[in-house]
Amino acid sequence: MCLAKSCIPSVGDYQSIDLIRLLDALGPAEIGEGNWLEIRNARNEWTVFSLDRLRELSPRIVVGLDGESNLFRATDLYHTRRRYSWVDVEAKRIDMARPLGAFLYFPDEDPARTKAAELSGVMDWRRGRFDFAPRIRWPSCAIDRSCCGGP
Amino acid sequence: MRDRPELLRRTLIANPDRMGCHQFRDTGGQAFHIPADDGSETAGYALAVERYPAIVWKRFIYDQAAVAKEVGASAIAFEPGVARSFYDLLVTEKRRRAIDPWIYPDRERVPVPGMQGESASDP
Repeated sequence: MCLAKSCIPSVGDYQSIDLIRLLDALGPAEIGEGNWLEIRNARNEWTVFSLDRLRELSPRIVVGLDGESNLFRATDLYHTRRRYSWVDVEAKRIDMARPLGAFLYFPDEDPARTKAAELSGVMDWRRGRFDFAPRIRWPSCAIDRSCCGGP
Repeated sequence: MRDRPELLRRTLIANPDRMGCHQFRDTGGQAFHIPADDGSETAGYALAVERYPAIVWKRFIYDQAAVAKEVGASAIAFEPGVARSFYDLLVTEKRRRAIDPWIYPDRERVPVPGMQGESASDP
């Protein structure tokens, strides 16, 4: 699946979970206590949110999109000129991948101004935290309520 | 971060993803790449900021365009004051840990009370 804007002309529907309700349902025994939510994705990138701010934004965890329930099938590709900067003397093309997975969606906030909207991922209860897949710039049609069926 | 200059704290804390890939004082990411050909987790995890030798960090901060071109990454446009703050961040932290900032490579670690994961045997 290609996520470039030109590859997805429209998005018809998505399936999502209310993040705050999920956190409340899991409780401190599962996810710990505190005023901050720490997130890591599949590439071990990290970010943190104020829970008070998250409650205002009412984010959703999108787990399905347009009939596709395995969002890890969506992959963003990029390349670098070296695999290890301290090993590779000569530059060559190294192709890398960022699988998408489930991602956070902020229905009531302009995603273009919400850095969190670039995060995507899945949850990993075993580690007591949200485990998110790599960030990706989602096509604008996918974050426009007018073309999404909503939860 | 409370003992760091206001400009640096504001830059890092207001933009949490600035620490998305690298840690500082055991907080932040430890990112890695996933090769497209096999999807494996590739060794070569992002170092904690304070692990870099000062000479490497200096070049990264002040010669960003050339460094980015070498590795094939997007260049980061550091604001002048922020660039200096980031440079000082590493040098100050190494001195706090009694490590000569200019030693390369950085292998000798000195435990700091209250810090996690720090030991003289840390690779």
